[in-house]
Amino acid sequence: MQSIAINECPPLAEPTAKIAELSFLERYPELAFYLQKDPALGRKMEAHYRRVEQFCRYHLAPHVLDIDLKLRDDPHYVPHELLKKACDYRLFSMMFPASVGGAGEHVISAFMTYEMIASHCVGVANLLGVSGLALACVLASFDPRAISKVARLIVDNEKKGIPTFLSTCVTEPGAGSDAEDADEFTHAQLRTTAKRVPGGYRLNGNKVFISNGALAALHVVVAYDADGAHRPEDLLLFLVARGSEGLSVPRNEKKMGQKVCPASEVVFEDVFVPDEMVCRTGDKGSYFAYTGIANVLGLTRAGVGAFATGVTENAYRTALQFVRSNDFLGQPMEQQQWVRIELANLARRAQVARATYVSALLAVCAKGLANPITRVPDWGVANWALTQPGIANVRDSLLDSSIAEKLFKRIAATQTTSERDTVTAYGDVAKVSCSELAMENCQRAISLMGKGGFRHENGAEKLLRDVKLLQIYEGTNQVNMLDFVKRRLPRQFSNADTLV
Amino acid sequence: MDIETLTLLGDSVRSWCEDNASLLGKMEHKQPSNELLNQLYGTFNSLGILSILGEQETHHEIEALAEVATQLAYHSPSIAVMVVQQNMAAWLFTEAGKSAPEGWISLPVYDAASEWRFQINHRYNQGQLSLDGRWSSLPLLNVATHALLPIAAKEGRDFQLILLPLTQNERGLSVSAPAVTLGLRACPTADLQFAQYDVKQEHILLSGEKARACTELLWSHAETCMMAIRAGIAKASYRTARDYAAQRYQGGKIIIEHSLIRKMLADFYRETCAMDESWRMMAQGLQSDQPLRHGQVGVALKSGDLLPWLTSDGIQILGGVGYMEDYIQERRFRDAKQCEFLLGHPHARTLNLWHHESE
Ligand SMILES: Cc1cc2nc3c(=O)[nH]c(=O)nc-3n(C[C@H](O)[C@H](O)[C@H](O)COP(=O)(O)OP(=O)(O)OC[C@H]3O[C@@H](n4cnc5c(N)ncnc54)[C@H](O)[C@@H]3O)c2cc1C
Repeated sequence: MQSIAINECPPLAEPTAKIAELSFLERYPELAFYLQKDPALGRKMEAHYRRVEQFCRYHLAPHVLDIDLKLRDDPHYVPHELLKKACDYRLFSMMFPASVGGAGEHVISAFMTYEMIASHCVGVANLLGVSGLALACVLASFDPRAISKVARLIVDNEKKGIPTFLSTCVTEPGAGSDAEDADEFTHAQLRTTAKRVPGGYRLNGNKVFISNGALAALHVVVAYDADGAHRPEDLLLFLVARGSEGLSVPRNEKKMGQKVCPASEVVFEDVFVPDEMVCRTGDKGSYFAYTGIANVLGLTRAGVGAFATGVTENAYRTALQFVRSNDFLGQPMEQQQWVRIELANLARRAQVARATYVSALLAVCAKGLANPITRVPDWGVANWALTQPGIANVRDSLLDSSIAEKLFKRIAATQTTSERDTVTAYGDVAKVSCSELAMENCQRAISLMGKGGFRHENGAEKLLRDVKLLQIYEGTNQVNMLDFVKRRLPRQFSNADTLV
Repeated sequence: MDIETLTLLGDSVRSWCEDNASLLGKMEHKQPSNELLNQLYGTFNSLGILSILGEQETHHEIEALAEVATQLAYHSPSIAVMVVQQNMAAWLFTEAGKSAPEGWISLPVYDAASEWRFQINHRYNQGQLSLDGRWSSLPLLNVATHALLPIAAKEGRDFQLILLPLTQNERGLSVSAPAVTLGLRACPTADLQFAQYDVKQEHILLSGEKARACTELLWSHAETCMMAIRAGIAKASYRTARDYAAQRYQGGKIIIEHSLIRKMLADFYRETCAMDESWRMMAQGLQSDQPLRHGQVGVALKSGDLLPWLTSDGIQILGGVGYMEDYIQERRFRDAKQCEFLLGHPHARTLNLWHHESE
């Protein structure tokens, strides 16, 4: 099977002027309370925010519509120059601790980054965010060796200016929503299996709709142990490198929107995965299946909330831009009271969406998967020392040791069931509510703009095509709400623990 | 038109669409060439569906055209829009006592009567009508032989309906490249740019109070057809969702067996039935010399508001598959949103409706 070709990108155009952005604390006033305790963190977050703002203003915003048009004709087009710029801004390594060479940004900063990028192009945010999802899966395995392997690959490549993507391969033709929920895994017709062979496993199966499938340097693959009984505890997690023999990406899907982030079919035909690329999920996978997946979803659904907030904001800004330069029935639009109220409502929804996802994110930081990452100390000079080649070897062998594994798993075990349910329920609410608000804003922005709204050059029609996906992936909104019932209303219903 | 003829017409359009389903699908994905659009003109002309509105525009004829439109929209809403606008043009020629030229005619179907006077600047220089500015988003402009534009009354001058030939290189008149649009992509739109363009006497198809009244009346009656188009899209989206739900297996059963999906489908079906019935009732209640009643306009505007949400559910029931271009569901969502603006900006029309009431 042939893998698809990636085309080159022409040079990017000059930046264009944009509407004034909100300042850091205007956008996130709720964080002021937390940052009082840690002003240094506040300053670091704000500095990062400014850098991302600059990236968006100069390198992303001026090209979004052109890139979308190119992708309409050629679904394999990749905006390489933009992605190289993202390396300069360290957007690939932002979440890794400085001690492994990453930018050492707080998880909250990473989410703000996704939101801000999504407020210009949610497809680009997804391109970066999907790697975050894959990373979350690896994190949830609490296997320090796998985590440091992925971190090193991304950090080293970023330094060389090579954008590095990860993909998460879960969905299969017969396993969509079912594979988005640990309790439903028993229904999922997950056919990808891994057969134990000397020195590793052989993977066989077919994954569909895989974001970044065509770009990923590493695929994070969920598969059943072929010798197991296809129970959730028989799930294994693999890191499969691009170019592995038997791995192919036969096609990119033609999607309605978010075209810049390709979704592909990924096929594994007897792909050998050496032992060092198998995440040690421990306890025969049961921790990963029941606790890990729920935690991943708590984190990543809050992430979709951040994307959606970006789109909600973008819809507001796009409408505002249009209103400023157009008339309605012979009068400047911006001078009409009802138009201002429409705009105010667009801005209001963006604010509600932001508050919703930030609360889910804070829950994830306090009690969820992001908690261990936020505990990594900022060691200043020691960080520099730890990234020096000689010391890095010692550091890596320490991370590889079973002591580190035990430590990581102890951190994981501190979470109670109730905390996990709360974090996941907040993730569900963030994803569903923010994506609904985003959809509402996109629909209303276009309605306000009239026939100008459906023309590509004005930006709103792209938003409507893009936003719909936010209600589908990471489990459809309906399935997210069924999960919410299970997590938040268990005492209200009998049998609330199942989606059926 | 009696019920048998109406049924026959509907059936023949449906079977033509079914026979040409793959062509229609391709056209909706990639903007069709002018050659293909011209071929379609020939085909539809010979099927007799481009001039259904006869000399006396009666409710039977509007009903027949709406029936054709809903059948076409089920397969290709763009083509339905093209056919309706061509019929509107043909009827205006009949009113003017002139025969319509061959080929597609472009009409501002994205503008309400209340918006016409704001589209371009027009002024009179010693009796000479001169146009400036840009009339945006005119359907089929790049393939049409003529554009038919309503020019509002001004400076003591009458309303005029002008017919501009687009084939020659007219000084002061230019056509933009086709716009890239959200939906209805098989019916491309473009902008007509005027730079001190002098309208010649022979370009005036109709003028005066009669011209204004009949043009506005036609726009009002065409609403029934646009509603029928929306109903066709809703029906297509609903059926695709229902059929998919009947064979997709998730959560331990066929998804149509999950009560959540049943409820979504039931709501969808209810709205689809209501939309379909509304245009039929509207067509039957039309009075050929009266514009739509306020309630009818209200229903039409509601259908425009509702359809994008219905077709969004249409995607949702399919999950990820619904987002892919291979399944027509995503196209219906895009088309539905663009159909919100058929016959004008919904806010402009709402204000206009209320304006008449408050007077
Ligand atoms: C562009 C795109 C990118 C994607 N990227 C990735 C990726 O990177 N990695 C990955 O693994 N996956 C990815 N996905 C897959 C995505 O997560 C799934 O599409 C999503 O989980 C829904 O599954 P499905 O499409 O199979 O829909 P289905 O599960 O078939 O759902 C169909 C309908 O049934 C409903 N339904 C399902 N189960 C139940 C139930 N128990 N009770 C009631 N109703 C139910 C759903 O709400 C929906 O309305 C992507 C999808 C898309 C479209």
